[in-house]
Amino acid sequence: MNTAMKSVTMIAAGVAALAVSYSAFAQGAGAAASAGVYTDAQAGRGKAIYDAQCAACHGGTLAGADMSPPLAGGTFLANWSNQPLSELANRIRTTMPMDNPGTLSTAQTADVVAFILKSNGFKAGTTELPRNAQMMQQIKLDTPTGG
Amino acid sequence: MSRLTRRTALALPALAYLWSKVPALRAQTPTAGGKSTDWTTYGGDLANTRYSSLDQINADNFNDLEVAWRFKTTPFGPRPEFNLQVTPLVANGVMYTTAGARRAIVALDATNGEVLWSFRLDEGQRALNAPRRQSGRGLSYWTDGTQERILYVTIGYQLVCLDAKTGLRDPNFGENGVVDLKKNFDQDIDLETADVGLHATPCVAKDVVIVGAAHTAGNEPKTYKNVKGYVRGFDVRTGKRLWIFHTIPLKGEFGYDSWVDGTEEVGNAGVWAQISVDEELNLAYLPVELPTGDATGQHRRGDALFGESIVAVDLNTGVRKWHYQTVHHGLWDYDIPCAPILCDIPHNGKIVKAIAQPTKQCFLYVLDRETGKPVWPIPERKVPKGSVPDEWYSPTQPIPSKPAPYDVQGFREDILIDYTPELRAEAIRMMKNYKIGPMYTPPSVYERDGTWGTLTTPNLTGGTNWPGGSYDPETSILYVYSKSEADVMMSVHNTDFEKSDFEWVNMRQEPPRKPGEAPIERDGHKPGLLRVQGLPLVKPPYGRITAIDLKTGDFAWQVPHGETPDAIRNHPMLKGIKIPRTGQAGKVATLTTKTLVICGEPIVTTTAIGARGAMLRAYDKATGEEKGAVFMPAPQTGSPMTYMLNGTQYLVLAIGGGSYEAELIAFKLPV
Repeated sequence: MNTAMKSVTMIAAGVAALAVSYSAFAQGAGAAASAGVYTDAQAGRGKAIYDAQCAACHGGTLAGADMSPPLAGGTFLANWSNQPLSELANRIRTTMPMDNPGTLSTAQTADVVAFILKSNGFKAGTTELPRNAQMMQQIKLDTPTGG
Repeated sequence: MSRLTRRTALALPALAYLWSKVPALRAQTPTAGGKSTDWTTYGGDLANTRYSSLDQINADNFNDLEVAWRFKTTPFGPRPEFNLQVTPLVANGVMYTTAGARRAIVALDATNGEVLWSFRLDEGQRALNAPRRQSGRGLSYWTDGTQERILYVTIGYQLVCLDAKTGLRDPNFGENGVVDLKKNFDQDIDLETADVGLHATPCVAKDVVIVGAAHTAGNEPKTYKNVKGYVRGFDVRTGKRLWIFHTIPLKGEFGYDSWVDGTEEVGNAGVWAQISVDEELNLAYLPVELPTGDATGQHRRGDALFGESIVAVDLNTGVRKWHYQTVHHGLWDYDIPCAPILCDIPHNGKIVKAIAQPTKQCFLYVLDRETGKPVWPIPERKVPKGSVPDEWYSPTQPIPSKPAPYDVQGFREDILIDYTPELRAEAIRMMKNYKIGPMYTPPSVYERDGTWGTLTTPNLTGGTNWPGGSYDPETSILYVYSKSEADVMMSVHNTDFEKSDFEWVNMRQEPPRKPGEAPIERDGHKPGLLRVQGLPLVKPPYGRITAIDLKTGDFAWQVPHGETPDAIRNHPMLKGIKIPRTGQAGKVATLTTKTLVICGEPIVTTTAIGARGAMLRAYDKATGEEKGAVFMPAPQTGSPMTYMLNGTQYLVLAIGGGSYEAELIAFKLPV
């Protein structure tokens, strides 16, 4: 790819991101997780982090165990319903993993949140979930619509 | 711990009589003027009945309850905590609780939640390495009538003894108030990294402190050569070790012969649940977990005592008097998660000193606690055999004839979701990807192009988990919450020996694929994902409370516990369908009072006015009819307790979860 093509591609990606940002945030009332707020690639990165850092306690299917709550399914969705994704990201970032809390970067945390969304049946979109907490604060966890 | 004085006993002869006869009442004796009642052990008493005879809060006024005070645990650790599992204690007007991510000890004024003192032990990396972090289930109280002590186990597995009045270390106990539980353990383990800790409280009876052990959960255990979960008794005054009970017997000890390959290497078999004690019989009842491998048993072939057994040991010596194994060579992670409940029940014309053990598998095992013999017959029944290479299968399992299982067991078509014919049809298609069978059908080998393992229910977190049950000593009725959730158990040939040294491990999701293989999917179904259009695979109730009359072994009543979750009420495929209350799946326990059974909801729902929260519900203990429900801002995470102080009854429980930081919330009636 030559430089000009790269620039075009980057501009196109930027326009696409802006378009999604607009659709996701322009209403002012904020966006919903079901609108497609992460990408499959991001969820893939999140899965790798999850498998290495989280699965030992929360399980491969995110079903939880005797001591750890589930991260997928009805109980999880109920306890986080209508909460901003920034709250979920904040809890992960400040308290997890329990043997080494505070070590995931904001980007890694966003990736893990993307994987959790995917595991709960939220469909992927074309823009990555932002690592920026103020942006994530405007996206609420609603009801998954599949994907 | 008894606080009955001669004066109060004389002043209250009827209660004094009851106190002497009913173990449940011993911990709840009135203090000055009969207007105050303590709660001095985790389960309300050493029988773990979680019962109180208080009745100021009752069916007529439950809905009037107001928040008396709150205690937020956030500052008691380097980061917030969201899953506070404590049952606090109250003695002489002071509440004692564990709190926060550091597992600090805090004394509060029980009338208003004001902090009186706090204690913290910073264990650094040792705590971060521990298998049981956070604030734990609580602490223990001891008094000889003059001195008062608070004992707890730290995250890093040290037993600490504090002066209850000041929060200062007891200089006569261990080394400056601390006994390092990783030492003097009949095995050499690394003090920083060894996989042992404890979430439960120590159990203090007479002058003995009993301490169990907990380890990392093990579907894919890192190593079968793990720490052994021996149980020890210590002198409450000095911290000196009095005894040790080898939950994995040494060569020459009773039970060793039940192991095909010896016991030298394998670990676990801890007691991570609460322990019960009958001070009159001088027996402690230890509910033991599995040896290493929660769902895979290649390194513990044989019945492997004392895995998944209740063991009665002498309180002063730790010598085994009897044991009862609830599951032989378990492969389902049905280790015993909660306190056995001691109960004196009328049976065949006499009073039997019994022990009733709720379990993940939703059998209530009722035994004579003097002998370990079943009260109702528990015959050995043949169970299906599996085909995982190197695995060992018990041909039979003990199946209680009474009481009946109090929740769904095994897997069959008629337990599948049935809101609509379409959902049922999809559930059947999903089910056909797996092996199914009756209770104790073993995990099966994952075959990418065949069946994807075995479906089970209850799942490996129960049924009933650590919160356990409650018991009414006046009516001999036991109350227990349980949940109904499907699970999958796949036996997978291990390829990652860095992760686990087991040849076969248990998984609940698609195992690692070979290079070039695409993720497997059939008809939209993926291995281990057991949701149908986002809904649970099995039909409701998802959570229920069962009242079991131990006079007869029959159910007195059974009700779904918990509002129908929002995700079901608002599901697009369920529009227009009238759905009775489904109950909620979680981990909660009941409190029984003079007239009520009280239990909070385990998950958040949205109320009619749009407020998100969870309800604290009260049921008529005789009928199960709901008598009231009080709003809480977050679900129940610790089991409720109650006490009376200067004539006012308080109801206290731990709540939190989601984005709601953990707290204790105290209710009382309006003035």
